[in-house]
Amino acid sequence: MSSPRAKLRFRAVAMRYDDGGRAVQALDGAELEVREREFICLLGPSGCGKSTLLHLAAGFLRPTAGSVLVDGREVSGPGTDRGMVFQQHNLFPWQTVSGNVGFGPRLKGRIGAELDGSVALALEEVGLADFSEHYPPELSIGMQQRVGLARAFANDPDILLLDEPFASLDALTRLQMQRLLLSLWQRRRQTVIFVTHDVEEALLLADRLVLLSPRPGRVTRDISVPLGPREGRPRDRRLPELKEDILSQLLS
Amino acid sequence: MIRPRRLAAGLAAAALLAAACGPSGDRPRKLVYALPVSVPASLAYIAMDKGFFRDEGLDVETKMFSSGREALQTLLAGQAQIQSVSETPVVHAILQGNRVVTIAAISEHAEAKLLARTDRGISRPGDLRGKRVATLPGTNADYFMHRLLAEHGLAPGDLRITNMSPPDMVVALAKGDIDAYFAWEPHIHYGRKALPGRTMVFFPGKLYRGHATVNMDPDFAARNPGTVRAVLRALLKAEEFARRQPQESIALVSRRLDMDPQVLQELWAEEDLRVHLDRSLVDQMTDIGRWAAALLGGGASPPDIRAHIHDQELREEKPLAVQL
Amino acid sequence: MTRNSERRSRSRSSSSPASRDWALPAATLAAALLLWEAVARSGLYPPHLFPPPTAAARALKDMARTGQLGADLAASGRRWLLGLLIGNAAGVLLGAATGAARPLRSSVGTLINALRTIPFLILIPIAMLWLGLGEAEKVAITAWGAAFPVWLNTQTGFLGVERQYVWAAQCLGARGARLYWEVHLRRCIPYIVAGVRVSIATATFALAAAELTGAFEGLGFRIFYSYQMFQVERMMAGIMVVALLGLALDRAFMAAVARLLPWQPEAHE
Repeated sequence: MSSPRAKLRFRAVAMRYDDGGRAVQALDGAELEVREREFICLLGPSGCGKSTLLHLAAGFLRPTAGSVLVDGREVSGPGTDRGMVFQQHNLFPWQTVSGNVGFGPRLKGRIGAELDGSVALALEEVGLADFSEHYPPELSIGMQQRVGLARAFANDPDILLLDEPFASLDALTRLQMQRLLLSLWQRRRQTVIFVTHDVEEALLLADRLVLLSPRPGRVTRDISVPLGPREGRPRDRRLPELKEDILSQLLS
Repeated sequence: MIRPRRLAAGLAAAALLAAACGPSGDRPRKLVYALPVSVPASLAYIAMDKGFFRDEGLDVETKMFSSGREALQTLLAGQAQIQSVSETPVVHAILQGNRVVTIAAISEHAEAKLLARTDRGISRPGDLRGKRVATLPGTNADYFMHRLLAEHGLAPGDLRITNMSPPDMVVALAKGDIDAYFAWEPHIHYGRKALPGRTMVFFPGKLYRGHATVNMDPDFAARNPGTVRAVLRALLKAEEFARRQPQESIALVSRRLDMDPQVLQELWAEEDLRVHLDRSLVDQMTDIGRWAAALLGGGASPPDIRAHIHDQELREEKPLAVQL
Repeated sequence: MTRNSERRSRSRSSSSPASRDWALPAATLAAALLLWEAVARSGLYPPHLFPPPTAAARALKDMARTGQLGADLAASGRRWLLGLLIGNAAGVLLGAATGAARPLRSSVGTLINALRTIPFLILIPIAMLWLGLGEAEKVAITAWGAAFPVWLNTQTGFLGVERQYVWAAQCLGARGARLYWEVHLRRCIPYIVAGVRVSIATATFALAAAELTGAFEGLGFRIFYSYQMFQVERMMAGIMVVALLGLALDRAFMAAVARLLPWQPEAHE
């Protein structure tokens, strides 16, 4: 909300794909604007096209109708300006933790001490400095997702696209990861789209919640989170009530 | 992880299975005759196809093999009661201690030959020095090769010898990968056809006389003299038939061998299809035994061939056919 | 698999004492040899057709003493190693090509699929026509035998690359050949390893077939020659050498994989 400019815009987006000979209409007439430095959460029932919307923004998929614009330009494919964290198969298992985090910088041409320095710093920030030479399968899921965040942030994208990154974690680890994400984000305030099905998580993290209808997905509600600064939200008395309210809207 | 007890049970079961598959000592009601695809075995095909075995009260089933070596293995493994093959593999088998007796020879022939490319400068056996020559180890043509080389003062190391099955030899010679090969008919014939006017055939002459033999397990032969005699009677009838009806015999054998009757017609004259046991067979086999024992090295002694000739029944059926 | 255990045990450090790793395989081999000895001595089969392993071992000693075994091993080893290297390299390249491009998969892939069922023995006359008789032809047949499992596995690996890996790499700036090199090929390594492991055996089958024709040296030739000459002890000795060599090569290869690819536990056994 700090900037009026639309960083990312979905204009009448429809997405239809073929699922083993059966046509599936994942999205139909989806409209959404995300402003620069805004943190939004996409919420909706399973299969409503939340992830599809994210994949369209990343440029992995092309819409069958409508358009996806970043800074006013139509998205034509994946780019380093948009970072991605997946729920599963996120890290390259054949590379060490530092190999994963340094993947993007290496492709940008960084080598030697400069590369090592930026990787070490990124790992320091997520508290995994001691695990740089481990392979992902040797780490817990929580640690793996921390590496995933470090890798995305190390590439310094303008937009972060997070596809249920904490869905496989236990409650305690999830809380820790939410805090970690916010602390990393607050330095540069990238534009974030965070897909989740956890209403409380969305309320703790986002500036704005966007609710999608069941398939074919359309934006049904757009709610600015009426809570104060994020540090105080877990103890905010309005939180349970808001959560109930949004849940009932999702269920209706 | 497999528990030791289950492992032991498994091994025991495997041993039982192996035992169950072993040769049985019962007298078989049906006789299996293991045969190679080869012209010298013609009398066996004739006896079979003209029903001479059946006429003698025998229920014979033929099993055809691409080589006599495999047919012989079938006999040694107890899966056949009658078997035909050239005398050379029989001698190799005897030398290694296998139990086998020869009840008759059914042909004498000059089938094992050398085919050489004259355009590669081979017109005498001595020209083989340094040439690439193919043979199939353990066969009568292989023995002929060693005899021919020794006769002309050549050692196997003077040639570039390579192993090959006869059909491959024809291709390799035509392609030029080899300069000559030792084989038997019809593979010599096919090689000549492949390179008209550019080859030369060397016949074994006195150096080697080939024989197709009829073999049995010694215990089987000793226990079943009646069966041995019946088999010999059927083969003698086939000999008679081949003499009286050469054209029908050629037609019948060419069908069995899946060979052009024209080709067989040309080769027929080289075959002396005769049921016999004579001095020349024993001498030939003894020579092979001496050579094979020397080849083995380590002071292996040549086998006593006469002890592996089972002549009693042929003597009874046709005394004149036996000259030992 | 516990999802949130703080640190999973590391496959590198979790191996049991070396003696235990060897005990059961060694005991199994010893039991098999004992069973063989017992069956061979029982008189169930003619001893001249099925000699006991002790007789085969004596023959082997004899073959080693005369230098024949060394010469055979050298001849076969050279053909095998060259064929394996060429065949595996070709398999990986072809598998990457047919795995990456659907048109290639439906054209070249179909052709390879048709060819791979041809028995090696039948190929020999054709290989002889094209390559002549000799070392090149034997190496080519061995390579042919080694290529197929690696091709098929590499293709399977390419088709199964998780799209998240590709997408993540694209977001980090990987494109074109770099993407294939950094993601597809690296992801396929466990598949390639499994393919190479199978090819150690298939290359041996192919070489054995090749040595039946146009050779006078080599383990495959020796086994066949001994069979032809009724030297069954030597034949069994040759078979024993091939089997033990195959086992040793497989072990050595998997040990090398465990050292070189610590990130892929599924490749370890």
